[in-house]
Amino acid sequence: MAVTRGTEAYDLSLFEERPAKVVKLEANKRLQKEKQRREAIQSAMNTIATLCIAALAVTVMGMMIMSRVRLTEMDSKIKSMEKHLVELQSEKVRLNDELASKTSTKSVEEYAYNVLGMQKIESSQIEYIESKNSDKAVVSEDTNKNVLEAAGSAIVKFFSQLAYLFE
Amino acid sequence: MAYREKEKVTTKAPTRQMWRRSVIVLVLMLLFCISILGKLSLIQIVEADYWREKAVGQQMSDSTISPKRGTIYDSKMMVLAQSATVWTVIMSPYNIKQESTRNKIADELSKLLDVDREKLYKKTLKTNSQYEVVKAKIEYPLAKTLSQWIDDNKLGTVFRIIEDYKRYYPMNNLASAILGFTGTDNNGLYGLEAYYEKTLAGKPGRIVTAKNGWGDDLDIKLRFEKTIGAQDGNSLMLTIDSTVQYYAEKYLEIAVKENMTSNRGAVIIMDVNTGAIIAMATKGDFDPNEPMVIVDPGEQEKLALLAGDEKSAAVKKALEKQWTNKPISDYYDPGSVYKTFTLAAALEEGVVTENSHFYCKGGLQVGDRFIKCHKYPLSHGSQNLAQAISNSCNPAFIEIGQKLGGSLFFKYFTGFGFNGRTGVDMLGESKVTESLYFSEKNLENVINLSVASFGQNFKVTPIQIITAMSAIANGGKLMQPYVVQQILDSNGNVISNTEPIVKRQVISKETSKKISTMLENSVRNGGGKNAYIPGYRMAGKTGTSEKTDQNIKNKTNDVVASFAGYAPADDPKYAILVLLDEPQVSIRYGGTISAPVGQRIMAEALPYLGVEPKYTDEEKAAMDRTTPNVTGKKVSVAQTMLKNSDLKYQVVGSGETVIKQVPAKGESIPRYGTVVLYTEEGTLSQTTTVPDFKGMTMNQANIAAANHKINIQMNGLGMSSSEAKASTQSIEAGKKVPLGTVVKVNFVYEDRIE
Repeated sequence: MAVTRGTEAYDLSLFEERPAKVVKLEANKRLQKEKQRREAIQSAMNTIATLCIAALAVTVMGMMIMSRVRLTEMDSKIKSMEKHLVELQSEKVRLNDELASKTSTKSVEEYAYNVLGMQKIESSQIEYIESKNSDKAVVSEDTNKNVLEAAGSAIVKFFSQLAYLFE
Repeated sequence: MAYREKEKVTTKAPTRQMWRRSVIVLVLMLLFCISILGKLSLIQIVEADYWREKAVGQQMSDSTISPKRGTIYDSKMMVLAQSATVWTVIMSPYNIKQESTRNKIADELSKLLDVDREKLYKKTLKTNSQYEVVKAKIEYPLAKTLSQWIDDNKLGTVFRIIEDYKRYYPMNNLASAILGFTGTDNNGLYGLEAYYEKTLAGKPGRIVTAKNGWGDDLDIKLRFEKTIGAQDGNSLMLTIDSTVQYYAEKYLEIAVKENMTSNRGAVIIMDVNTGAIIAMATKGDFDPNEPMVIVDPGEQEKLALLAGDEKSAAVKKALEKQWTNKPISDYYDPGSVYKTFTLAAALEEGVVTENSHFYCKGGLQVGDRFIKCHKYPLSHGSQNLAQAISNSCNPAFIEIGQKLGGSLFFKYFTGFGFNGRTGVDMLGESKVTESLYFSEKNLENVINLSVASFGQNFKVTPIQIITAMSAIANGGKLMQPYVVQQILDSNGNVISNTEPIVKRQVISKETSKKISTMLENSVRNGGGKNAYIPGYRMAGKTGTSEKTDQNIKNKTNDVVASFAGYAPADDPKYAILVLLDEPQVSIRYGGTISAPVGQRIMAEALPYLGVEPKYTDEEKAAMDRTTPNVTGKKVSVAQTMLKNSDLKYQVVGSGETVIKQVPAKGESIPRYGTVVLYTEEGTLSQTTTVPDFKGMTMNQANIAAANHKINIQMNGLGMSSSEAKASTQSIEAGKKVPLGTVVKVNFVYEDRIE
């Protein structure tokens, strides 16, 4: 509280605490609106970004889980198929074994003799042919070619021989 | 006031007691920390390996992947042995809670799996057990049915069906002595399965999987599985040809039965130029799919009379006998077959020539012993070298042996490989012990040398004989026999290929050719006549050796009848050895009972192996004819056609046209055989009775055939056949057949030549 003592050399009131002078400022409404608009946009953007990131995270997470599930499914399928393959291979060997027993030389011979009444060929039933000259194959010439075809063939033959020589 | 209170608090100092307590707590905490750190150090550093192992053991499941055993193929890639997955049924009686379930399992499963009901029921009562094998190695269809039965009855906690391997031998008994078999753990126990165990078995793989505390798979994020694949076993491609093997086994089996051979028989066929074994047969043998079943009916009868330990010991002995590969593991006195090698040594060393002469008086006095010829009391008289080998004359060979001397005899004995193993890649080649063979010093004794010269009083294995005979045939090279041609990986790529190995040159090519000529003569005119095959120049030597040591011990008179030969004599390709051990028939000479086996096998095997026959003019003239088609032709035309084919005819009926002929068109008929031509319907039913040809000579058989209006086709004959006698006939005696029917009659020589 300010105390005035007229004659005192020092005006101590000057050092007393005074309440701050409140100046009433006039609000700039345009700026305020702009600010509010920006804040709103920023807030919306933040929300959208958050949502996007959350969605992305959920998607990534979902995809990871899905891939794991798919992997597990495939793994299970492969194992199942491998098991089935083993079973089928086993059955194949068993059936081949059965087939080999049925088509062995012994079985075939016995069937031929006893069921079909067949007999082994006698040496007298084999005719041996003696050939004085060795076998040779003859490729017949195509005589129905016209002049142009013959000329074409001759050119092709010439170049192929040339290529062979250079090789 | 507040200031005072504050001052009071701040100024209060801890008492000594407080300090003491604090220090104690601190020390205790420090000790606790030190002990924790100490224990951690112990676990993490000192005992780290131990605990790591424990942790891995707890967190990881480690299971083994069994490798697939390699396949065994013959030389044409026919499967002889193959493995496939089968299943073993495991029961956990611990999980059976109700008596009704036990009964259900015993009733239904015993029928389904074909097991004994009572035994199965007893297994269900072992409630402390979680592992009882119900049936091992069931195949896919049964495993599938069983799996369905388990699901239907909700017995998944009681039964498990686990994978296993089974070895299949699709040809059953074929080559069983060579192949051997595997045990329940799929390891080779006998034969090639055991000898090539490391090659065939492969290397097992592993699957390491992370597990949680309950032993289950971890969740997806933490799942870990590491697979180290199994390395499948390699496969073997043998030199054995299953078709030739079949021929060998077929005729050997017949011979073993016909001659009541009590100690089994063996056949080996070898490529003389490479040493490759084309066939190796033993009869009686076994089925490798059921190796524990005793096949020999005689053994079964003997065992049926025994009981207890005596029976167990007898069963074991019988099984070992049937599993033994006789051509590799059994040894015997080679007898007269060995004369071939005495002859080779003598010719090579020049102690005899083709012009050498010998005189047989039915025996020879050697020291204080009179050694008889097999012809004793008769004798061979004067004979040259070729005749001596053809006659298989003992005194002649005693003389040759004595001329050769112990040292040279032993040199060739060793040279031909009789003093050691042949090195064939098979299990069970007999261990060579000094006692089985003469030592050089032993041969200084003239009696020992004389007896050894004709192949008695020492023992060899069949594989040694065939290898040495191949050396005689191929120009003198002793080859190392082998049975595995190639080793293939699981994808069929060739890992190794066996190249022929020449061990040494034993005799010269010239000596080899001289012996071939003499052995061919032995087959044409000597003791090996029953091995003659028209069109093939067969060379060979027969042998009938006494089992002296066994006969003295058991007071028996057993022999081994054998034949060793090769063809064609002018360009040898394949050698054969036939051995019948202890035949129990009256005539049991190698030439009489073993040579025909060799003849039958080679007559089928040689054309199959691509060796073409080359008939001499004499053979061509004697060859059977193919009956021409005369049915539907005028009788006169038919008669002309048959005459032109060197055939006779008999017309039945008075018709003009042939309505039926016997033999039918294309059938084989002997030269100058009679074709019956039917010309009237009413005559078609005319039949005749087949006579009993057994024991008849050729002439007698021809007369009997003519009397009964049938044709006979004579088999098993050489060019000179007057002494041969009929042994078997294709149509049994007494049977009614149409006129003109061809009956095949086998003739054998009963020469008592060893």
